[in-house]
Amino acid sequence: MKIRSRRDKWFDVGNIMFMSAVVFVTLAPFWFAVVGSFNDGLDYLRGNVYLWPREFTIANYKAVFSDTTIYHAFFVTIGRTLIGMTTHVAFTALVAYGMSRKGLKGRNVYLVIMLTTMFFYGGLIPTYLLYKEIGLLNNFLVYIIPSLFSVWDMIIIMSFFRTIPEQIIESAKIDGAGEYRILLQLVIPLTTPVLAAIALFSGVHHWNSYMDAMMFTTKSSLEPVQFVLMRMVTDASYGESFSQQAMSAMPEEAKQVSSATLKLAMMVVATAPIVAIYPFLQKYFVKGVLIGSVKG
Amino acid sequence: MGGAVDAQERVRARRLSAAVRWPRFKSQFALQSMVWPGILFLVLFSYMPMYGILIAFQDYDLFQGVMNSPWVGFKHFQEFVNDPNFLNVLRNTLAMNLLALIFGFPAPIVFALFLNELNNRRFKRIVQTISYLPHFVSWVIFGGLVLTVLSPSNGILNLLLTSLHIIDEPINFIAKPHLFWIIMVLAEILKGIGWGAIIYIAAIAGVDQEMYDAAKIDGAGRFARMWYVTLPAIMGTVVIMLIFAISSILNTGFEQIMVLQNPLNLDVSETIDTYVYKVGLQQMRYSYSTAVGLAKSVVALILLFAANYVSRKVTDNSLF
Amino acid sequence: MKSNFVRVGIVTMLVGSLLAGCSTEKSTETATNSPKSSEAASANPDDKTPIKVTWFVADESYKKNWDPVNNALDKKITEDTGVSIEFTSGNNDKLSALIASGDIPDMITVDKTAPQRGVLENSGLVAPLDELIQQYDPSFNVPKSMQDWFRNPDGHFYGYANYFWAKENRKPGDTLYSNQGLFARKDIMDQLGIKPEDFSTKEGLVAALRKVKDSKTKYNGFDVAPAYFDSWVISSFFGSPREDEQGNLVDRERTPEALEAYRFLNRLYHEGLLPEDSQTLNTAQLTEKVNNGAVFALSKKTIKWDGLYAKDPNAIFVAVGPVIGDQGKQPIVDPVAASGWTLTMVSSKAKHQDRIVKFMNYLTDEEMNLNVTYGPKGITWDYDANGKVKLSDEFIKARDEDAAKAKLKYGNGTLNWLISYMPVQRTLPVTGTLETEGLKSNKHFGKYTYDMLAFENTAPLGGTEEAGISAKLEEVRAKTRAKMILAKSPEDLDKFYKEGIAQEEKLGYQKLYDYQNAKFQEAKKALGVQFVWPTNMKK
Repeated sequence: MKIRSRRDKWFDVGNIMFMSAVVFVTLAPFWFAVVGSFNDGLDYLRGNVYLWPREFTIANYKAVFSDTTIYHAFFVTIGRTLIGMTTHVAFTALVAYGMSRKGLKGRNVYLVIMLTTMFFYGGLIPTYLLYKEIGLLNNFLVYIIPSLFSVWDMIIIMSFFRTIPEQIIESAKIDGAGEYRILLQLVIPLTTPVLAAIALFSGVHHWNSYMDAMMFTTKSSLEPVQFVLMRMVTDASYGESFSQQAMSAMPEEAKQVSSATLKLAMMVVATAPIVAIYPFLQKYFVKGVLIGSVKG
Repeated sequence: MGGAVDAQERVRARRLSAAVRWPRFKSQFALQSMVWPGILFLVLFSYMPMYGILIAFQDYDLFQGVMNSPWVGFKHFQEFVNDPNFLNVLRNTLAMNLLALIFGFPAPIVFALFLNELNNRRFKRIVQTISYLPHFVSWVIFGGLVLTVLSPSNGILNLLLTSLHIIDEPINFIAKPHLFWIIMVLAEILKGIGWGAIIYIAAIAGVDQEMYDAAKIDGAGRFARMWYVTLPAIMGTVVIMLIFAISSILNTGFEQIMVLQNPLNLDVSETIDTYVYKVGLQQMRYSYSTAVGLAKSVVALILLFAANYVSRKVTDNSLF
Repeated sequence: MKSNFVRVGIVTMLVGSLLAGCSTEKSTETATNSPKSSEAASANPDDKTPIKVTWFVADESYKKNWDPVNNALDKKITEDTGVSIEFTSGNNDKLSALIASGDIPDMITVDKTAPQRGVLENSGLVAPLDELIQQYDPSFNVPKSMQDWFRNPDGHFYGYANYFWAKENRKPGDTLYSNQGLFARKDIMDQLGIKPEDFSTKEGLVAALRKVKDSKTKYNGFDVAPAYFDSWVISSFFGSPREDEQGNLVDRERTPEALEAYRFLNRLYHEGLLPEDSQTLNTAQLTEKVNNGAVFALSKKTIKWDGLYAKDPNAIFVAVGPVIGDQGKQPIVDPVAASGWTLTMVSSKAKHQDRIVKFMNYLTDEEMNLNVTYGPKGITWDYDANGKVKLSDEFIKARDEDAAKAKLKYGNGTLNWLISYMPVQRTLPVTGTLETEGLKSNKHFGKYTYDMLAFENTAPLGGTEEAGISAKLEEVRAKTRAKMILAKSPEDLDKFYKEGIAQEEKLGYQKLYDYQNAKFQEAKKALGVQFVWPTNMKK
């Protein structure tokens, strides 16, 4: 007993050191980016801004928020993330449950139909024409409906559903529960960790997308945050490269903001909210599940 | 001759089996009704636009559209395969992906396993939250930091190695072809380890706690518990991730490679994806890009089925 | 099995209807191609009734919300013309989708080199600009050289180009600048007694760089690296030609001058004057080095050095040289493109074609060029005694506080799609040392530029096989260049040079060359000249 606990202690020390190292190397890039976003743009060109801003400024953030459309864009982004994430997990989990049952007729055919779509994509123009035909262009639903379902997420959820012992489901059936009730009351509570993970993946996907906004909408009332920011940054770096073409006519432009520091501020503004959500989702990952208690 | 009889026979057999099948199917109505929306979704959003793939066999002209562009058969496939650079980019793609499979694939699993062994819940949460932050840093920024660390003039790595007298002269690491693959794979591991671990952490959270208690009573140490309890319990997830990792062995992101690429390492850093991006997509040669993409997809699909087959035989875990 | 067939059937049906849908739309558009004459008759010359015009810009970074209430420029334009614009933007893929769907907005701005441009012109979706002008606003004077340059084989021209240097509009003093040049740090030159003329010969240049190296100059704690040069700039200084005596296109990478440049840079590398990382640093890294003061000499202007200047006004880069090659040829450097950037076109289905054409005419006016650059005259700027632009204090203050906000308020630099740079250049306000030096070096290397127009359409159009070959060759060249410059011996260098050429041949060099030469001859024919290279023209 004594030997084991000492071995345990060494293990813990080693593990904490290993984890601290991981924290250090993974935090560093993010930290540098945050620090850079608070640094003067012109000064940042000189590099070596790491631990702390060398010339502190909030000009980069001012520039990000000077375009007031960004507030509305946050509204759009939060809306699409919440709705998109919920509907995606619900829809995908539903299909996954059906697919997880070994007795499902036609299961292999379904699976082949599904897997094929993971590899073959028709391209942008056919997609555009399709969306036009079914009225998704310039419609908020273009953010929601095309990402309702993902084969990849379905397969992951399905594999988790399949770890639930068959007897549990069978005994529920004998008790007279229907498939939908089994899914809602038995299976989902047992697999919250994976559903939380998929929700996170989907939420991050929704939060970060801008291509769909660029391709399929033209209304500024539908612009998500990432789209507004992406344009801001390409515009800034474009302006800079353009001024080098000996064409720009703006002498002595205020230089507190450069495309590099603006990019960093943008990254912080765009990721801070989604990163802040993570700890709330985390409790679903850490909590262990007790299948035995259900069995008994 | 016997064809007519055969056909009759077959029709009867089908009717018969349909009659037998129908009740079973009906009893499955609830389950089937769960799956159909997914299939309908894919028919609408994936299969309907799929005619766009036909441009791989055409000299696609935007104005003519898919219906009227001239057909050229396998011309674009041939251009790619007969390209003097073909073998080189194929080699680089495979090499980087094999390294990623050997080192990059297990990294998040190992991380998740050790994370699970942390006793302090708060520390555990902090580690987990921080470890996935690099996922949100774009490759342009992340790659820039990698280059800074490796810089010959003031990079930390060179300063460290020279001050420890391990090397005499600073090394321009990113210019050394033999180091590029390793740098690339390490950078990808660093950036993706926390994000990639999320799914394994979710899997570990689903492990029955009773099994740990049982193992404890049996006197299993920490390593033993990781090896004999946790790992087998998440094996299903691991295998599925592995099957997909194998199927995408011809894929590499291009953003990460482009930021670390330079003329001195081009011979080892150009992959199928970066090459096709440069000579295809960037030149708006949609037919060529689609053709290479299609060829890659076919390979991926074959690999997926093969890996699934092998996995079913060997580990009893599989997609289907 | 049956259900599968049904499924396939549904797909085919739907797909069929989609395709049919878009193709019928296309044919109706072609029918309505010609401008509507009935409307023209009723058009009032000074019609200012408010109208809304939709305008797509194929540049995904572009954004402008029309705001005639708060934005001074928008207000002026709407007041002057009655036009309000609803801008949308996106990349070329989105433009392709718009074209495929047949729904295009009233106006479209597209990059002149994009393949979508040709598709638009031939699709009937956009109306010929020459016809529109003739019909609605004959006073709209589009330079003939622009019309000729962008004329479609069908005889019409469809779009107005921005940043086009029309030769008939040029006045004495208008200069097309170059992004190539040779620059060195003035403070270090003064310190070590180096003069700008020292860079005019190879030996002088080497001696100057050696002085920097031998003095072990440090700046801000960083070792100063003598030179970061690009081979193509050096070979231009050596006089590498682009047209031979028969008038054929010459590939500059294969001239003796290019080889001489590689040998020269290889020599600099061996003497420790050109660092190895000159071949590996990306723009951001080199910019960082330059702004840290760790670089003495450079060959391109596209690296920003304002960060360094802001810290130390003495540490400024000035024009030096240019270095002359062994053959003593006149240096000739590339100017910025003269054939413009984008084309703006009018939809053949646009409701108010008459008003749009007048609106375009209004925007291309010389003073409007200044207004879209700085904001409306009288608010953000006015002419000073010398006829140059003087920015108002109000504007300068607002911009220094928050440049992005100022843009929203004054509209400066937000509507460049019909601009010509010439009126702007003539009235350019010059204030600080950095600008003065910039202008000086622009003039210095501007002397060595040539009329590049005929070479500007030799780049293969996107989507063609030649575009693919060109990208492949660029790849080989990037590799070979680095190998040659860092070659261990002159023999190795020659070997790499020959290997590079052999590989290029395998990748389809000849096909690309023939294509480019044909384009080149075409352009010269359109311009009505036999020779365009300065040394050929003198004969």
